[in-house]
Amino acid sequence: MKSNVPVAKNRLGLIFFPAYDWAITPDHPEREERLLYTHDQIIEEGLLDVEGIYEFKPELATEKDVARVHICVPNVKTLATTSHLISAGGAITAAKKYIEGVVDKAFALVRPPGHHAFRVVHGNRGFCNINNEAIMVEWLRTNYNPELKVVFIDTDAHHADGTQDIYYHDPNVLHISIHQDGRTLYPGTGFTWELGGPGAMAKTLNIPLPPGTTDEGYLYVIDELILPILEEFKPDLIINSAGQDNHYSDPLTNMGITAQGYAELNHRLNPHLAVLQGGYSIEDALPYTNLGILLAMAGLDYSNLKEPDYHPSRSRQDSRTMDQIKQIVEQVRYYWENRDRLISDEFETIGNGYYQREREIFYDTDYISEKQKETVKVCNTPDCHGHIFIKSIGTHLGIYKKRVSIAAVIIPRLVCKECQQIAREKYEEYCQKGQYHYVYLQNQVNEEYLRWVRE
Amino acid sequence: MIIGIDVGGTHTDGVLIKNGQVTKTGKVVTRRDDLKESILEVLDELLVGQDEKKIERIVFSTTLTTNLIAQRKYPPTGLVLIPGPGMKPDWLKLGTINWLLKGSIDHRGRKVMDLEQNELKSFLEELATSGIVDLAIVGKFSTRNPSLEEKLESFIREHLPEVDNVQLGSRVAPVLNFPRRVHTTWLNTAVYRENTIFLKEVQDAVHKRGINAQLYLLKADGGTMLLQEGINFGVETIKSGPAASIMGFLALSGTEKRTSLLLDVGGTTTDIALITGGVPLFEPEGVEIEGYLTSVRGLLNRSIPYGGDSRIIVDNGQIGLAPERVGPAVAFGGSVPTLTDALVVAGLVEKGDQKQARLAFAKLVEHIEDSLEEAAQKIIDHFYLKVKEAVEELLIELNNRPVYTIHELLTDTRLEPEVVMMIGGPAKALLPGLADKLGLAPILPDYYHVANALGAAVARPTLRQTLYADTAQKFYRLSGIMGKQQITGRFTLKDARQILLEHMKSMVKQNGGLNIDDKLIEITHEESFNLVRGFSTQGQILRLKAQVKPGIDPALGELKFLMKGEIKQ
Repeated sequence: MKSNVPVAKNRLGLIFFPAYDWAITPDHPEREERLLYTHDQIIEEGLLDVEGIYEFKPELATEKDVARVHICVPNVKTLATTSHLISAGGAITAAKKYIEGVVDKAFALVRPPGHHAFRVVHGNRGFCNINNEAIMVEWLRTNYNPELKVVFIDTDAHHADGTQDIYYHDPNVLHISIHQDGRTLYPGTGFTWELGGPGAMAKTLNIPLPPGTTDEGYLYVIDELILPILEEFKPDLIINSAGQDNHYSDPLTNMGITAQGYAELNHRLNPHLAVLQGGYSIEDALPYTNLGILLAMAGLDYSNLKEPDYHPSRSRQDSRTMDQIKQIVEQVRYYWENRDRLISDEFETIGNGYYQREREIFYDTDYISEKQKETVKVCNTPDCHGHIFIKSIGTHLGIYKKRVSIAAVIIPRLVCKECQQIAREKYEEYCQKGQYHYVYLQNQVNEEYLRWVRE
Repeated sequence: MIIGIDVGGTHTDGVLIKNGQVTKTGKVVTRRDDLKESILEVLDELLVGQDEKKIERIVFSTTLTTNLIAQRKYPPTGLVLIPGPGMKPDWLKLGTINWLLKGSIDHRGRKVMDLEQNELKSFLEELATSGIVDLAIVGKFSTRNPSLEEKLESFIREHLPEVDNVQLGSRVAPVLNFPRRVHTTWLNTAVYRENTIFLKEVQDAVHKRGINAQLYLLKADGGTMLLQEGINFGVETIKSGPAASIMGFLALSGTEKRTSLLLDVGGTTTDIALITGGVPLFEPEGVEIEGYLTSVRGLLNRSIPYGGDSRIIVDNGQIGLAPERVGPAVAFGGSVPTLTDALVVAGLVEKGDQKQARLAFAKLVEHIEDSLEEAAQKIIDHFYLKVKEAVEELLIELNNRPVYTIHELLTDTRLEPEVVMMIGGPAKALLPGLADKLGLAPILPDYYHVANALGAAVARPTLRQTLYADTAQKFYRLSGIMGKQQITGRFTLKDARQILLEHMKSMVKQNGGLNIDDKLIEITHEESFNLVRGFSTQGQILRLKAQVKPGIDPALGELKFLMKGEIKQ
């Protein structure tokens, strides 16, 4: 046996897939070399030789794995290219190794990222096509435990609007996004009052932080707000959607987190799984932040980890920003404590237990504008998560203004017989109407994912 | 004429090859306290009636460095680490004294922090008073920029010339992986003196016999290096025993291109290796020795603790093998029954004392239901099972080796052996049954008793070289070579490829002027990345690797090992 190596306190699985032969465009920030230096750093540190750290090859996610989460317009094949299927498959591999007990924790260091991908996907937004971490969770729920209680803590500087959207009506998933205030950064959402659908109030929590937040401010949020909430929610699974664009050197954002901060954050959160998100300071941040997360997850000493230009003063928070952060924490805590009394003001009631909202969603990468009407049933039967109808029109903002209209019926995994029946009938009705280009059924109960195409 | 000599733990074997044929073999018992003597004994045996002037080359595979490391026979050594930020380096303690110095290089080879004058002064004082003259110096990312290591080295040369064995990580182990570079460099420092004495003695002794052949050493990767080079890179000769046996397989398998499982059954252990498409597989990161992970490139080889001399035990009415060597077998004068006895009882081995083996077996089966033959078969099956488990585990591991591009992931072919080859004493008896269990076609090579020496004799030199270029910082660097090379003007992948191949060719020339066809030099890896700063391309990072693959020296022409006729033992 190897005798001359350090031993990790936690067995850690690493799924590393840098996709060295894939980029959106040659000069795009989400590019081939994003993980190049991280890779060099991991190899040079000898991390894969550590007793208890294992590397696994990613599998390819299947079309079914994608259809379980997304309504892909026009279809899965067009939107989920091989690179996306590997990236999502890497997240599945991480979950698999964890749930099989091969490792105590796993980190999917994969690209392209996924957290801006909504349930309905007309194209790429915020560098994301499909949502790796949602595909991972739904794979787990299908294959292991339909009642799994999950917490997402998304630490990317950009609001995790995609993952939020997918789990907006799911009371078993607590989605917490900590990000730079949407008034100052893409995608411009993620305010404290976005709290989830009427059947899952305060199961979505947003913590928009002011630009210039440092380790101290960030860790205050973790200690004072997040950890007590986790204590109460009692999740089976904690997932860190590990974006690293909060780093002080990131070219796209204005935050001030250091590699020490990331390591400390992961140490305190103690997630079972981590899935890489954004982070575009590929030279000055990613090698150090990723190493920090890996060391913290493995339970190894990270006190010697520093960026070349690190200085302890970088971690300190000025008092004015700290006051703002404290106010935000107060507000979110208030929502959480009063979660059973909250009334949704995003959704209008349309009677019979149905609620509705209309939205516009913009796809920055593919330049598509989507108009969406979402109707959700809140069911009184215990343990029934109701059902969802979606109507959506995607307008491609090119010269020709191509328009694609769809309708979709969503039957969640935990659902009563009656809701299932109503939803199925609705699907048939949409198909018969023939007024949409495509009609989708996403029935998670018996893994039935149908797409009707208008001739 | 070519001679191959394999100094093993038990025997030292030799072969003499003339016109592509093995014309003589030799075997003597290895004298562990005087390896040079064993080498000369075999050499003399081979040279009887031969014209020593006609010997073109001799290749040795030796266990010297392996033994030195196993027996911890080395002088007091010092280790200087320049780890910079990252993982805590506390656990990297080796040798007599360890120093941690400030200074750091980042992943792109930029100097973030220089060595500190005050620290240098006190380090030098401590080194002087310690009396240590064997020192390893290793810095993190020194392969990208060795300037800190080199600066320290010249500082020591200037002030403490008596410290005459200073080894740098960037020279000894010029690949990424700091802890492995530390282990490798330190091991190289530790074996340096003994290894130098041994190689010089061998050289002198050979010359005394009037032989003017080029002398080579077999490396862990199944390639050879000049004996001269072996002085500076002693650590490269660890694990050359398994490498010799794999190269022997390669020579004996002739034109076999199917993926083959290689089994070398010894008394104590059975070694497992693989050849695919006529090329042996490597340990991806480097070989392990005595618990030290190194960056020494070596052929993939796994050992299981079962062999011909493994003890038979009865436990809870079940008969089976224990991973413990007792030997020799009862049939050959021993006192405790072994796997070999089971082969005798089962009628698979005709030599040895049948009666004694059966008597010993009769005692064994007193308390179980099996007949002698059934018990023998159970033991043999137990051995097959152990091999099968190890092979399956190895294949899972190999087929799970990560890849980092979509292209590789999609074109990744699974390794599935089709053939099983076996060498070693009981190979003939064990192979048919085992091949059946594994569902593979069996091949029993000729000359399996001297496969190792044969492997050493016919191995060709291997070379490896990495080129790392950073066109934004306007330099490129070749691994293990001093200094950066300036880049002027445009520098593309094509330029890098050309420089690397030219360099490889000149290295091949230096390596004893063997006629290595340029076709054997291959680029194994190419990567180029645009460096983007603030969304515009600043330059490129290029990484290329080239190698001369391990294989059989083409200078030998057609090997004719399938000749018939008796070879004198």
